[in-house]
Amino acid sequence: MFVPIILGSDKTTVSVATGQHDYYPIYISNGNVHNNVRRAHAGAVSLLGFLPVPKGLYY
Amino acid sequence: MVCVTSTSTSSIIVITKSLTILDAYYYTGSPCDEKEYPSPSAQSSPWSPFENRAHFELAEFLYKQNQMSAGNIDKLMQIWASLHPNDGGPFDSHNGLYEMIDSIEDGKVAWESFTMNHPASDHDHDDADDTSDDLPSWKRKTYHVWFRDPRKLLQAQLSNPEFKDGIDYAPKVVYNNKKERVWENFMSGNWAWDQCVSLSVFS
Repeated sequence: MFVPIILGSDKTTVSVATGQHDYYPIYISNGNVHNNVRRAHAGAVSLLGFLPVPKGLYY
Repeated sequence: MVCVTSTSTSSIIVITKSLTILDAYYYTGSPCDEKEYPSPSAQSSPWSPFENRAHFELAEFLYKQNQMSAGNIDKLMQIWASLHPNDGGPFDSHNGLYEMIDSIEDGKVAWESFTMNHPASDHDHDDADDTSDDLPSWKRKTYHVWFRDPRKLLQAQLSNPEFKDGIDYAPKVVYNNKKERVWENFMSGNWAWDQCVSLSVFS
């Protein structure tokens, strides 16, 4: 089966409770599910990970 | 509307006729083994982890509908086993039933993490007193990356029965009544088709 992988991120950063690090969320979906389904069901897009954002690079 | 997948042998010209050779085994979305050859056994039972529908319905009845006590489940299973001394009961005890229910895959994937450092920070450890060099603080820090196994996430997405009416298992080319190409969803696009269909079959 052919499964196209769709990755996405978001400019919104996520802070953990300690406030020491910000993270970029990465999302993963597939090209098999129809667009209307992907929009309507949370299960078609999954949270794949959090990339840490080095602080001080921008501040 | 005519809808042709890359596995179809229908009338859409030469392309699909040639392609039936190419993708008889591939891209059909049908169950296959790890070498992508068709394999009915690769398809797990829809009642998994339960042996069959009756086992599932019994578990659902006892646990969800009747909410039978553990002691009563044990008693029922003992009576059941003595009715069929050769086969035993469907579950050995209430523990067996609970473990079976707990082993239902719910699509949850565990979080994992690893840490990483900037390569420049490695040299720092050799000389702990050397804090005055010009490495910026972000290069000194240790970062945690959290993630979940992408393969398992995709498996969970693709095995979600809620998507059964809105999913494509193979690239497709769609035409309307005017024989115009219809573009909708990812798998109707040229990119998806080109990934699966090699022009080398025409040579």
